[in-house]
Amino acid sequence: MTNVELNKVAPLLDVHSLRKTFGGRGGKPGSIVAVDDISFSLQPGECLAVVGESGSGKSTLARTLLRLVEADSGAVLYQGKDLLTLTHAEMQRQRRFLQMVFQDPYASLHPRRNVAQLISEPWEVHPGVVEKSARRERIEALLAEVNLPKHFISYYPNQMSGGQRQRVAIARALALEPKILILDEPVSALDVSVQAQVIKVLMSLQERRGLAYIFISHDLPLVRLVAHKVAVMNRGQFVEAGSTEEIFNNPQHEYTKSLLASSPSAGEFETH
Amino acid sequence: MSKLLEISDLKITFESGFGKVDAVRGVNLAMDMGDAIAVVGASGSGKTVLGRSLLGLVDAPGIVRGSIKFGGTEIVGKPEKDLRDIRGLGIGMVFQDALDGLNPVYSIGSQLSEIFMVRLGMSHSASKARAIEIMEQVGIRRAAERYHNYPHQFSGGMRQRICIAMAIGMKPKILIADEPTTALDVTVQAGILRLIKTLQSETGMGLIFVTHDLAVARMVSTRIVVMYAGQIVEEGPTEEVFRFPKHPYTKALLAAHPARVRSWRDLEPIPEAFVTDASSGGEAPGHSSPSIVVTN
Repeated sequence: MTNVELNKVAPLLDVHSLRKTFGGRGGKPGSIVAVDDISFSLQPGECLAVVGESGSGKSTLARTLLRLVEADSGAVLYQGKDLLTLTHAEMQRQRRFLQMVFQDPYASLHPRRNVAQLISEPWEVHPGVVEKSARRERIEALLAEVNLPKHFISYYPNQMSGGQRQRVAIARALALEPKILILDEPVSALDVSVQAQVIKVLMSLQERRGLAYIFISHDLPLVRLVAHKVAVMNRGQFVEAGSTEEIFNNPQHEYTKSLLASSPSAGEFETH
Repeated sequence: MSKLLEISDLKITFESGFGKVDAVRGVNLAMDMGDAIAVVGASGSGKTVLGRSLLGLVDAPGIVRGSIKFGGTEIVGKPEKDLRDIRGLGIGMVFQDALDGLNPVYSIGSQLSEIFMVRLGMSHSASKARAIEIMEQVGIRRAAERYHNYPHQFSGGMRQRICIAMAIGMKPKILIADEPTTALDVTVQAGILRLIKTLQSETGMGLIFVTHDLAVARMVSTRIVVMYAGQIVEEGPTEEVFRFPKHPYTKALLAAHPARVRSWRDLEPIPEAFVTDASSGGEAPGHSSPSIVVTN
């Protein structure tokens, strides 16, 4: 899908002047600005990469979008509806459409639950999504989507490799039929050698389901492979944003240039 | 003349209630001053325990067999008190997590100067001067001021620089760096890798750099050793291994690396048979009796 085609569709997510500070008292803004006037939009089927160093505010941005922390000001329009003004009950209902995959599958999966329990957990919170009688079949279908064999259904996290665990975490995020996945460093806890399988699973899912991704990462070679658009984040702000080609071939901001220059494999690590 | 380091038929086995794990299965490796070897492998390949064995740091129930000769002296089976002369002074080590190597309740300066007093017998004032000098050498600005700071007052990258300072302060003949940048951001990583390379060329020490990332290995090494399931499956000059990989595992590692392809479609996931960090274990095709069982 080209960008031209994408732009015809109304944005799935439209973020305006989002701001989040820490250190304030009594609900007042504080002095530490984690997310500073961020605006962007996301189309169905699009992958926006947010890159930056630790402390740049990328994870806080993700958490603010889902209202895991409350923003100070701004708007997060999901299909035209401002998520920041919803009541908690309404937000809870909307959350099924925006799901998150965390960095560390060793921490995000409960060690005493098997794969069937892990994947069906979201249905306890959102009971209407899949009928009880249809759940087992749906779990098997979800496992197939992330390239795991059926018999994994009874496995516990410690019986799986890091890459397999992360694929279970992805299957769980898909259980509620979301439209947007927020992927917070989804492969950086994994060995380089197993990153490829997780990335392939994610990208084929996106193609098949038309999902929109917010892909948070500091791994630029990887971002170049998966993202349509890249936003470079530094000290809470998007210092530069554009198409992946623009950012990689013609970076404008000094910070973007320094990020590209320090990536160990940019340029010299190519076979062609 | 004997080599600076000579490892012959090294085998490391762990025995526990769950069974026997052969973590290293017959490794041979030799190096001289100035060599920069990258040991590349996935989790569970045995690369870390190999590095630790060079300092006699394999704890019970680990059993080390074979031979590790450092400057002609056998390390395997050497009593703890004799190992002290080799640790730090002969072979220095930098670990993945810089916080583990530092004591949170002592200032950076006191931890650094203590090394010079205890290990090199320097006076209090001389070791302080040396500590500040070495802090500057690893790129810590305003070292004299920061001498009094505590570990939590430094960023992750700066802490790793301090750990490197501790290791090279005693002028070891060999520096072992075990994934020293895996916990760090790319920009910080680049600085640490440059620092290690610079220090190596200044001091002429040998470098053993353990990593799972081929791109990082390429930046720091002149020779690459690929480890799989406790064995060296491929070894050669770095550029040659990148251009003409011979072993299927090396080829699979390269094909799975995001920096080698143009689109995610061209990524070739490493075959599941090669993934060893699962409890199911794994084995290189063509080898017999899978005995690797690594749970974490």
